[in-house]
Amino acid sequence: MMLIFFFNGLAFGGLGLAAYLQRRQGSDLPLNKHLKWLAAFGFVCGVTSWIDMFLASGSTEEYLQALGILRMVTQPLTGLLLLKFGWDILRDLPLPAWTFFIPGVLIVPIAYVITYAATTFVTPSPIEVPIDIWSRYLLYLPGAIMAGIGFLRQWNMQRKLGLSDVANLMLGAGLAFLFEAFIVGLVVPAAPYGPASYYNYNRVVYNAFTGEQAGITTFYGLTAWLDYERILEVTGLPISFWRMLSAFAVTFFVVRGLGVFEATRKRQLRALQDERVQAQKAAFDAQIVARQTAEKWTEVLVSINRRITELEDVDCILLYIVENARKLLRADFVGLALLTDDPSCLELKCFSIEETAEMVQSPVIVETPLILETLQTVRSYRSSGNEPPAMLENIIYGLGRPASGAGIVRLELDNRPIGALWAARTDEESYTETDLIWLECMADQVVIAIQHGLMTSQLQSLSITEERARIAREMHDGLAQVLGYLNLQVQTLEALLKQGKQEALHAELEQMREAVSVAHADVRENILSLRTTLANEKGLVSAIGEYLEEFGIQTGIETCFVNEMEGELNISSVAEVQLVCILQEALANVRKHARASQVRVLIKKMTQKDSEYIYLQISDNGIGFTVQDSKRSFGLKTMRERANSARGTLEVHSVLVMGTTIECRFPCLEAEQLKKGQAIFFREGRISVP
Amino acid sequence: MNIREWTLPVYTILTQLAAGALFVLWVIRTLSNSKYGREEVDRIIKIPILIILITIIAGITGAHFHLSRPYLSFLALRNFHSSWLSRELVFNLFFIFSVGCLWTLLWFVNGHHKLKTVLGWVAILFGFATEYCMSRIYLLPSQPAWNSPLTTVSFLETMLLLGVMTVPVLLIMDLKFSKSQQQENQSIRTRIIQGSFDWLAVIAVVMVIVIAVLNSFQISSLRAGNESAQTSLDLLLELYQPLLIIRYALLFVGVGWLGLAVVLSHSRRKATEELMAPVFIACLLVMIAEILGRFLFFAIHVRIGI
Repeated sequence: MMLIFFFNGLAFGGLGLAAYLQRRQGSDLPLNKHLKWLAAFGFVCGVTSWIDMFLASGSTEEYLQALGILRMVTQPLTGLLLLKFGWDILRDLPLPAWTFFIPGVLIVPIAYVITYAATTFVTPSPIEVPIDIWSRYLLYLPGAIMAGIGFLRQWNMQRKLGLSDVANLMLGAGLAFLFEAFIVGLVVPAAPYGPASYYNYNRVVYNAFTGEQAGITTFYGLTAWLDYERILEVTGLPISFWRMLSAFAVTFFVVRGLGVFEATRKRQLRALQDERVQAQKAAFDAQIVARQTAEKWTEVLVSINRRITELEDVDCILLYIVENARKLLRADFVGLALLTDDPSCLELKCFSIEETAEMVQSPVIVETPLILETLQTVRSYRSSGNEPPAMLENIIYGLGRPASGAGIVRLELDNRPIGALWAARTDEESYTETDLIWLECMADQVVIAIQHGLMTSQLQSLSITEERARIAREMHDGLAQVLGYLNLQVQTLEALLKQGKQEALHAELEQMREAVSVAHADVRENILSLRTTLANEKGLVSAIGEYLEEFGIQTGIETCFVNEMEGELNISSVAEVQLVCILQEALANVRKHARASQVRVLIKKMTQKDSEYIYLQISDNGIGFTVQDSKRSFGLKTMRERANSARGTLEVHSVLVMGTTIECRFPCLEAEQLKKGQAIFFREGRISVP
Repeated sequence: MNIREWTLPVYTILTQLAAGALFVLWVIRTLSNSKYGREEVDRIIKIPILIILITIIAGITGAHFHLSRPYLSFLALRNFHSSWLSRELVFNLFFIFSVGCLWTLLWFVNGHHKLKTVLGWVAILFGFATEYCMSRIYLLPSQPAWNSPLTTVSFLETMLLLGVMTVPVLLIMDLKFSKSQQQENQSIRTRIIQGSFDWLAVIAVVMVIVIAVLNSFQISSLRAGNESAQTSLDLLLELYQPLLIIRYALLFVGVGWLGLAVVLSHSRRKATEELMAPVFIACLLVMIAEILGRFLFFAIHVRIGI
């Protein structure tokens, strides 16, 4: 018997030690939190068994008495610790909702059992007997049952996770605890009360309360197993032996089952690795999607910019913008509205809906409060999905379905609102912050397109005004002077004719013929200038060549055009205009003042200090002039100003009798500027150059 | 008292608990109807009424176990005109039937609010009648420990105390269940519980004081009684003295625990469902105390004569 108690204590002590060591290793498994109670249970249970061993050894009476008192403490403490562990492990996994009612259902039976247990303490039987019995019934039995069910639930969970080896150990531990519940919690010492004695009612020697004797009859059913003596009689082995077996079973399965921690660690490691791979893949996929989206948007934005720089019709550009915004934002509707002369009146300009985009022909006033409010605020609006449906009413035009999400951006020009661009959806998906940023990019493009339209219009009127002024000046300086001169000459001729001075008359007529000839040349040159345009399909350089050829035919001056250009001019449109004007002015000077028989024009691209520029040289073999005199020349001054206005330079070299050379340099545009196309308003062959 | 005789305390306590809980629940329902709406309140008390019905049925079923031939228990109904036992059983059956009808109406029939109200009060009336008849059974001249109006008063008082202590447990269990099911009327449940716990705790404290006073009266009357009464008093104050002390200790600790939990829940603003543990423990302690009281009631009886 002592050996049985020894091994019993050893088994539980081992259980406690294993649980303690596992707990010290630590784990984030919820089961780890309960191991302290299992460890405490194992240790106290082991101590109780060894107390039983010492009690069985039959030491001195005082010693035995002290051990007996100690046992009266350790026995219920064991049950309490097991109850705590069982309760915790049972609740380790979420319990079904109906279990909330279990306390309510059990409160009455629990109250009765506790009350009944309390009454047995007033019976004449020794105090250690009810302590032993009720610590088993009230503490050990429910504790072991709950621990058993708790391990069975762990078994179920581990099985679902695919850890069959650990699951089987959990199953073993659960069954072992249920066996422990029966063998330790339900089989109690003989006493004149309690369920065991009730089932074996007739075996009770006497009624504890009344002292009445009762007869002994036969056992029946399961009740035969609820008593130490009956167990011994049926199995031939004492209850202590069965308890030892139960202790070994519990210890074996629980200690082996603690391998769940190692298995879980490995599983977590695998899961982490899988998660990392999946996260990497997801991030990669997201990057690809983001890049594709960005590429699509960039493509559209570049296309819009190209259309703007090509001076396409503003309405066409706006239609292009709303249609692409609808496609890229997966919107059901995209609308563009602009403020009218009345700043409170927002008018729908164009919209895109169901694969189409169209301009609004008859005025449609936008009165949606949400759009008007966004127009007044700096921040763009994005629906969160929680706003009331009434808020998004009338945000979609021409579609039967109401909007469920929207993004609204206001259009700003010089920090003042000029209109709104908005996208709306009818499905449940809402717009993200990124969507809103893209919509804002589109709004910027709308503003740029409108701004460019306005600037183009202004530039055209400016060019016309400048052209008129130039023609007026030319007429004043040339044709008007000649006509005035001719008027005086006619009066002179009239006077000479009256006086009969034939020779003088002929001389005057000769002078008049020359004056008319000069005026004719001026007019033809002006006509040539007006006819020479940059709207030449071959480009500016070819236009210069053609102009020079025509100039030679008209003036009889031999012209030579040296074109050393490679590639594009890459100068700003303003510089192009000024370059042509300077060339025309220089050639006019050659014709009028140089008395040259040859004129040579050279154009080429040069590099100086890592920057490129266009070099234009006009040289003649005329009479030349002194540079001192040239400083007062209005024509040269104008040419310099023209060059400076396009960030260019102009130099004049002239030697008397040897001829004059004019050198003009215009900086090429940087690559970035060309890419943005910011300064490019005119392209070759589009706008007339004066 | 051996195990078989324990069925009597089981029956009496369960019936008293059910009648008391139904009464308290119906008072809460009446007070809450105007505030939170009849339909909402009726939806909240559905599960508590089911538990009360199960409790009554468990009680009457348990009572059969102390009969030698339980299948002949219906014979006890025949003596309604002369026997308090017969009257108790008849009223108990009416009580079960009316609570059963009430449960059916609450679970399966919408509306009919007045009918439900009336049926509830009728069931409570049958419950009270059952308790009264139950107490009258024990008013026997041959049993000096029982033969006193204090028996009737103590039975009714146990009924009310158990009702006051049990209803909070039922309501909080129902609240936790409804939260787990994500039902809609959480706030109403919470407000009903918070609104009723204060006065329930006060009533519980008063009831315990009344019990102590009644018991002192009982001891005084036994002391002044005949030899049998003296014997009963000796049993109470000697053999069962530890149980008597435990009973009062549990009663005071139980109601004190409930009161403390309610006060702390106000001061610390804890979630209502966190009251489950203290309310459950308080109810368990008071229930143990009352079962002990019933045990003592049966244990100290000493018959005069044969």
